[in-house]
Amino acid sequence: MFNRILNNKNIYKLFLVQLMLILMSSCAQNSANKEIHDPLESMNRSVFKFNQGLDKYVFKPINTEYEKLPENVKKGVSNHVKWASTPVTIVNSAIQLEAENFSTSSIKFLLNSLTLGFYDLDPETKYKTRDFGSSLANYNVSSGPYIVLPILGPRSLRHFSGNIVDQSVSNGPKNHSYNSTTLPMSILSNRNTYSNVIEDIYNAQDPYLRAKILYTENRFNSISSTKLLEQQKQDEQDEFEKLLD
Amino acid sequence: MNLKNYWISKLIIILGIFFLNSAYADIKIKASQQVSNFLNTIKEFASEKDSLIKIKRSDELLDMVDLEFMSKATVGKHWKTVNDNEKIIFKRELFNKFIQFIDLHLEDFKEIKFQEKSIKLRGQKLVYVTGSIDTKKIKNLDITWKLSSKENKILDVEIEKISLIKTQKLEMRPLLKKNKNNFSQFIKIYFSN
Repeated sequence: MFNRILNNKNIYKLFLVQLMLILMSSCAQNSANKEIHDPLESMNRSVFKFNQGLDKYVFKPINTEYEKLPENVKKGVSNHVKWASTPVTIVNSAIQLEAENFSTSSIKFLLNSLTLGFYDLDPETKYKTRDFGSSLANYNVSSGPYIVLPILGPRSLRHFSGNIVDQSVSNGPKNHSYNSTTLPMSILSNRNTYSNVIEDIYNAQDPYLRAKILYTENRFNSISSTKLLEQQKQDEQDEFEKLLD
Repeated sequence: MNLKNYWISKLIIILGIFFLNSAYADIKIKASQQVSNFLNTIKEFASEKDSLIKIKRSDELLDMVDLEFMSKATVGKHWKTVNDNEKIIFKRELFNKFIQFIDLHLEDFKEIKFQEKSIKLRGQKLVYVTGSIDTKKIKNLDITWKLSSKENKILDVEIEKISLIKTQKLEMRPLLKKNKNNFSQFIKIYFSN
């Protein structure tokens, strides 16, 4: 699998370029409390505007129709999308030496393979989603600048680099079956899941800024260690107590 | 005599622990009730069509949140420099924004359900009520209510680990920087939507 990734020269080159950019980036964004490093803001804002238009005229109307489907169908699609991305979590749990997450996600993936992931046979068992971006974060690679990608939306450069590697892990660079079936399902399902959040973003005083904050906060919470999150909670508690004095 | 003193001191310690525990239990029960009252009032507000009753419900909601704290926390150090009139306007606008948010998701809030999972005291002054929320559209959303243990008022809400106060604070920061010396202008721009 890794040979396949390394043999694909384009991905390898792109990944190397991005990795260099990350390493060169002087303004690390390790905590959500710090200023979000956004040197490409004007370009990002243009892409954000483009995405907003695309959402208004394409994704939102599709979502309105998708909304009418029975709950079970939507749940099935959402389950399948999660199941299809589980190999990424398995590989990255191994890279991050998270034994419990590795075994839980592997067992759940194999079990739900019986239904192609459309039905969750073990809804009680939960595991943390892991990707290559979180593996890079685990090995202290800084997040790099904030970027907004057409269609895909907000990412940190580290997250985006991770996505490219993850895509290869999912089905291999020469197999396009993932893209042709799961990707549209993933876009549909995610648009539906986050429809309330997207609505709130568009109603904000500065939608670009709100999207940036929500992405950064959410990403920070999902990839940070328990220790770091607890430290952040403690800092917030101290701040609140001080304000209550 | 010594033996008597020994038993008395033990008794005082036991009684002390007992009263402390019941005081903590009382704080937790009150916090839990406050969250459930708050959600019930939101539900009533969302279902109500009579504008007078709606105003009454929004006043009840206002009593359950600590707007002074929220304003201080979101504006940060600038709050000290703001005059009383601007403070009143800011707090009113902040609360109106919250009411607008409910109005925007009216259908969703009509069927809001909260499943409490735990109540924890954090330090001397805070109590966190954690659980999950189900609305018409969203299921099983993790939520943490942060309340002051003394006043029993809601200070902050964390949805899927994202704090409302923190989000507002980060959103306000660049605009506050731009309007350092003109808070009224900041209020005007920030609440323009």
